[in-house]
Amino acid sequence: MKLTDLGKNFELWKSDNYPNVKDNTRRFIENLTNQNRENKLWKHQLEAILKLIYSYEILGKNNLLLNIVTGGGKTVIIGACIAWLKMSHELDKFLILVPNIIVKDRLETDFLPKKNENSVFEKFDLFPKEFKHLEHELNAHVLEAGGSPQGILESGIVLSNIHQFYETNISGKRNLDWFLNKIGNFAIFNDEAHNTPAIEYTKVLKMLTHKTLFRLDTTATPDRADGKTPDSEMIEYYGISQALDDGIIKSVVVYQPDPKIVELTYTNKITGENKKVTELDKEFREAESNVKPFQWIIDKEPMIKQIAIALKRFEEQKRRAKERYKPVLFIVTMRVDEGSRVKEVLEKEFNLGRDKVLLVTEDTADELVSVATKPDGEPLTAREAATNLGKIDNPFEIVISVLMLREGWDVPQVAVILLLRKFCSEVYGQQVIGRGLRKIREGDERQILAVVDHPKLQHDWLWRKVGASGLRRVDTEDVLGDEDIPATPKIQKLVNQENLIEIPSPEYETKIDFDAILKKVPKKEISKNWKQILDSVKYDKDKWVISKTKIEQMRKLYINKERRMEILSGEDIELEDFEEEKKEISRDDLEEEFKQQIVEMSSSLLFENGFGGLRKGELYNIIIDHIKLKLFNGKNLSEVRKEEIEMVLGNLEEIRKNFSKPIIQGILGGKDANK
Amino acid sequence: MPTSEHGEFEEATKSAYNFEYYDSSWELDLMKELEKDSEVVKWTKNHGIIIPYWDEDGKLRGFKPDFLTEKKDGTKELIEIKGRHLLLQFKRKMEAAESWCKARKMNFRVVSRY
Repeated sequence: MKLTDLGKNFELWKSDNYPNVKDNTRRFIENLTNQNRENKLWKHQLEAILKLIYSYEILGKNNLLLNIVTGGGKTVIIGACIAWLKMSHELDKFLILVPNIIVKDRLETDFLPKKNENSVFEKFDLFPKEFKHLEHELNAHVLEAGGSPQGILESGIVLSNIHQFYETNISGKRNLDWFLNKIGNFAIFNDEAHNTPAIEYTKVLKMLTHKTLFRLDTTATPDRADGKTPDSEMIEYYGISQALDDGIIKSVVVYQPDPKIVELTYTNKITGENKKVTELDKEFREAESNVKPFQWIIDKEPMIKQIAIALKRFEEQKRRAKERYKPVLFIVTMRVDEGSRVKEVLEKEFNLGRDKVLLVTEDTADELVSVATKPDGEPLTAREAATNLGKIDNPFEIVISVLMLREGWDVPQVAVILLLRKFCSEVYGQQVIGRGLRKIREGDERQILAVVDHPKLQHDWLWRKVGASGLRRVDTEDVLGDEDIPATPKIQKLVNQENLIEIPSPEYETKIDFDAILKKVPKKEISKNWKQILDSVKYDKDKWVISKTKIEQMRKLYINKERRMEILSGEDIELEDFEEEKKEISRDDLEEEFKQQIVEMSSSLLFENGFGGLRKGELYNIIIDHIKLKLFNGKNLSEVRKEEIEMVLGNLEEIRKNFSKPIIQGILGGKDANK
Repeated sequence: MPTSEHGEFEEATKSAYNFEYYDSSWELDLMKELEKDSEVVKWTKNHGIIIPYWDEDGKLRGFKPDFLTEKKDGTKELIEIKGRHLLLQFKRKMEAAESWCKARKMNFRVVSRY
């Protein structure tokens, strides 16, 4: 990715009334910038569209990237860009690529509206009056798996999951062939699609290059988890902090409890020993040092408290919604089985049943399993329920998911996010928060997204990233209602034009020798001796569980220009005696669970480190060998005691942590993560 | 050490804006100094300049210097405020900013205390 500042020349071009653009483009700009139009575009949307026009028509660049925050209205920009290319550049074919089905479903409503609904072109009057007829040539077609490619010929806009172009499947090969040989030139819009594994993604775009007259990548996070960025040129950056200041997205308010442990429970699966240690006991200090950070969100007692805090915020948000829309609580967990545990806790401890809580897994998008019944008696599938969250007639209001659910699944009604996992990667953390940043209704109403976090997870970097730094302390009572929504920020306005400082143009091109710099960059650490490292790690065979905590105070952080912190008192939550988890699981089920957990660990490790799924088997075997050596005393799964399997299941987080990025790269070989 | 104070400086007569944001006590101090300094005719923190540079992982990033000023004689300057203990990590940004300024006949200055 190249970062380009269009700079002063672009500003001059704007103030000169857009010299050297095509006549139709001028009409297009006039229409969009018309002060009397009904649906005005946001300033940054207009700016982005003008930058695209300038880059293409004046500078001749056609491989561009816009980095725009989730909720910043990317679809309208894509729509406007299509309208302009259609009007001024006689392009008739537009391919919109998306990374997953959920993004596709969302774009579908904008480009392929249902009866009585308007397309994005109609809603924002993207075509000037005399060009309105072109709108009808822009009928959209969705490329479905196994569907007929006929629509590629007949439709102006083709909306497709990027997988529909992979050479590895038959329909992908055919679709590629149709695009290369059966139709004229086209433009590609790439909506977050770069977050699919790099090798296939790059290949698809490369194959289509010579017929692609214009390509636009839109994303909120150009950095991929594997550190690779798209090869396009970034001409616009509109980030979270800017959008917060402009009031385009919700303000974020973070809630963190300040808890201490008052009781720990010790168990040793192998010896069967079991005891409780309280803060009055001598050995408490030492026992406490065995507690790992993630236990604060995984052990049952503190987990229930985190959920209770989130539910309290959820009630507040419902009150603010005043029944105009249906707020959603979004819970993020580390693994699917953690998600199921949370679901169980919600049901048993909070009486929130299956009719309200939806567990979304990686497969939900493809699953047509019925989870409820619609008013008309038809079954409601998990996919439909996930897509229609926040709609008044959808029974589900709490959704639990693991990390796989990312781009595009942003539901404006997400009012509270509960983080029951640690985010080590900036990219993921931001993406998850991004899910809830889109405002519910346009206009000036102030809205917040409440995020319930735990200080032991040390997400400080995440809060810095979204604009928080240096927090002021204010003591306050817990105020409910609208008073605690941060005030609309003061707007910085240009008042003394004569005090503007003109930035000089460079007198020569500052050529940076990137290759020389790159050579100096130390090679990423790859653990060639991964086996040695893995063989030397140690696991605890016993376990300390946090069984009782006390929340001393609550912190409330306002993530906006004010960056205020408040301390809420009296937030400790009295828990009724909850059931200790004691399920009798059969030996077969336990072995099955064990295998599934390791399979899941293998695939998410591959995913997070930027490897495709092809080498899952290889990694699976290495993890199994590691467990055999370190935790099963060299025995096979079928030979160990039931308690030993349970012990491994209790140690999954630790095992996962030992398979760090350098180790994974060492195992799977070398620098190119995609081979 | 500077304290993390945030706020709006409203007494800015040499800025084009109704107020200027400051993010630390050092920034506020410098704002006051620039207002007093008779050599300086204009200054702002809202200049939109992003200088591209490569970080130690080989990733392309953007560096936003703190202040842009203009002096009586028309010379322009970018000013970055940095604690001395951070200067070493700051080297890459500094080199990029220096060559960026040089090409524009501008000055680049790092203000550091402690």
